[in-house]
Amino acid sequence: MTRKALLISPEACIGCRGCQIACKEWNQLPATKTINKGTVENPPDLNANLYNKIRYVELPSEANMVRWLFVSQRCMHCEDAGCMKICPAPGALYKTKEGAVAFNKDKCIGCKLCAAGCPFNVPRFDEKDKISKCHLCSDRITEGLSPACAKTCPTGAIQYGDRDGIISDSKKPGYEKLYGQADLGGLGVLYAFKDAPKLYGLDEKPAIPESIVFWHNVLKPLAYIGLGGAVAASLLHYVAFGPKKDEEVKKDE
Amino acid sequence: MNKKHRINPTIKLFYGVEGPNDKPKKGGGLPEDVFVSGDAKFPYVATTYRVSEHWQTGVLTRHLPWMQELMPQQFVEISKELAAEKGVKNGDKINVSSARGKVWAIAMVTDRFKPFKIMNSTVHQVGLPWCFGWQYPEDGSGGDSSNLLTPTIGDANTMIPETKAFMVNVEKA
Amino acid sequence: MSNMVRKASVFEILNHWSLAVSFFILTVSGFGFLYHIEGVGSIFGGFNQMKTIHNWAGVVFSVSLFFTLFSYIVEALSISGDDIAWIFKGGGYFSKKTVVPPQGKLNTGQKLYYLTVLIAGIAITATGLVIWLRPEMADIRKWILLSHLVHNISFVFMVIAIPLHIYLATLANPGTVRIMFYGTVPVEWARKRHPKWVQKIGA
Ligand code: SF4
Ligand code: SF4
Ligand code: SF4
Repeated sequence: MTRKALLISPEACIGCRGCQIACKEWNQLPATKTINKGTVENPPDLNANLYNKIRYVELPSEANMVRWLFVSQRCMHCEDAGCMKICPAPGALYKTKEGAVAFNKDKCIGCKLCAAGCPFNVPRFDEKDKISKCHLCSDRITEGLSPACAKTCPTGAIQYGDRDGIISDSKKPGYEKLYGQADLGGLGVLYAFKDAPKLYGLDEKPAIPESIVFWHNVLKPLAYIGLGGAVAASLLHYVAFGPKKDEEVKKDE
Repeated sequence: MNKKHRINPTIKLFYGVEGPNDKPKKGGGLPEDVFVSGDAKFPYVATTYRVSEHWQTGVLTRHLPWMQELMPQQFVEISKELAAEKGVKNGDKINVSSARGKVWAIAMVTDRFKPFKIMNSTVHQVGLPWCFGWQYPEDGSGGDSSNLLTPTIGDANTMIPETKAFMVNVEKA
Repeated sequence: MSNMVRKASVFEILNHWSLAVSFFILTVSGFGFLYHIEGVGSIFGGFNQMKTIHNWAGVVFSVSLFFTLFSYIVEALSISGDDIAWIFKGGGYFSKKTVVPPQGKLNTGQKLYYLTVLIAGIAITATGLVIWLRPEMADIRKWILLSHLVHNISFVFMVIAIPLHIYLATLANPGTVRIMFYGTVPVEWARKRHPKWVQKIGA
């Protein structure tokens, strides 16, 4: 199975937020009560019932021109996923054959470590503390359908397809930077940007926190080696030197 | 323009006048639409519009929780310049009033609105949608329709009710 | 039983068992989490339940660890020249001929072991609580990452220190393990291994 991906082009987005609602509809997620906080952007943040969200970025106007960017925010379906690396529960987070990072609430133990492991601050938790996030419509894409958000997008700002095809498609004049091609082993959600990622509110170089990399590469094996080593050293000592039998203990006289 | 004209003489006034001085006819409409239009109490131009999340007055779409989540409350977009003048911060609740009525709205302070320079004076414009009000949401958290502010007049060319340009005041609630 | 002296009170014995059992549960489940060992998960009735048990075993462990303070901390912190010498002689564990300097109620190795477990235990408890309770704080993500790191570093110390402790208290020093059951040791045994203590209590 070839790896699938989404291509998001903020400049093509009109901020209709059809994707937000299509996602809720497909995943049967209820609405939250919101208030207006001086922006069209709502709800204010991703939550357990909101897997994707349009962020509204208003850039300072130059010469009376307003630059208003609409940037879709959701799980990036990292190849090297920090959430999966740190998760202590097998099967709670898993890769589908299309490369989506999906979840299984029954296997999730609600420790919320994945929230600390994700470079994009994506995982959210429902009222039972179980992980909730975009799963690239894993149930749709296995059936050959496109994700609900991509399907509903009226302008093609969210496109779905084979990752390789999407990468070559995105090489259009004017789009300076393809975001996510190589970061974290290659993201499953790519962005066609006209400017620096910072302007769109994304990290230039997203990375899994160093402490997790260190833990994964050093501490994890060390726990095994340490335990094994301690047992082995004890046995070795027993064989080489033997016990301190009472009658052999010398008093300092 | 003739000094005698306080308002656009070609618009359609949806009320009657009588007598030699065009006094409003009793029960015949809203005198505010004629006599307060140039009032210094309402120095800002206002316009109204829809949002894509609600259909027309929102009377159907405001019952859909998913739509309400996206667009929950009446807002008014104002320029950074006017906000600074009025001491209004983004997200503040402010009152928008015209000769005809008053609604509260959440201030969206933005670069999308810019003051006009007209004949050497600065004219501010504000904009607000008209998809809130009436019975839903029942707790009144949505606010009221900006139609409470608009004049009862017809556009000069088409006679369509002219709700897109009128004068208001804004102040902190 | 006139030739016996009491080295551990009944409370200390029970407390030590509570430490031992909770540590065992914590370590086994900890390895289950660390390496996604499905078999370990099923012993505990699934990973969800294993998390609950791990957390509460942690509470038992930390409470027991707290009570050990009353038993050992004063002794563990009273370090003398004999302790330094003991270290240089490797505790007498690497030659039958070595004569180690006289020891108090805890020998130097036991002191060092206690301090290691105490520090690692406090660290692992505090960080475990942060991960479990996830307090509402501005920088919570940084604190979780730090806690996760320290929790695992402490774990490494623990899984090295405790098997050695078990070995030293059983196979390596015959006659020691009875303290865990009876709390008493023969005077002769104590005189050889903890002469300063025997002198102090005047047995
Ligand atoms: S974006 Fe975050 S939650 Fe999504 S796969 Fe990457 S690390 Fe996991
Ligand atoms: S909250 Fe669930 S998915 Fe996230 S790390 Fe814990 S067990 Fe894994
Ligand atoms: S891919 Fe599916 S789950 Fe993810 S944001 Fe789009 S609609 Fe929601």
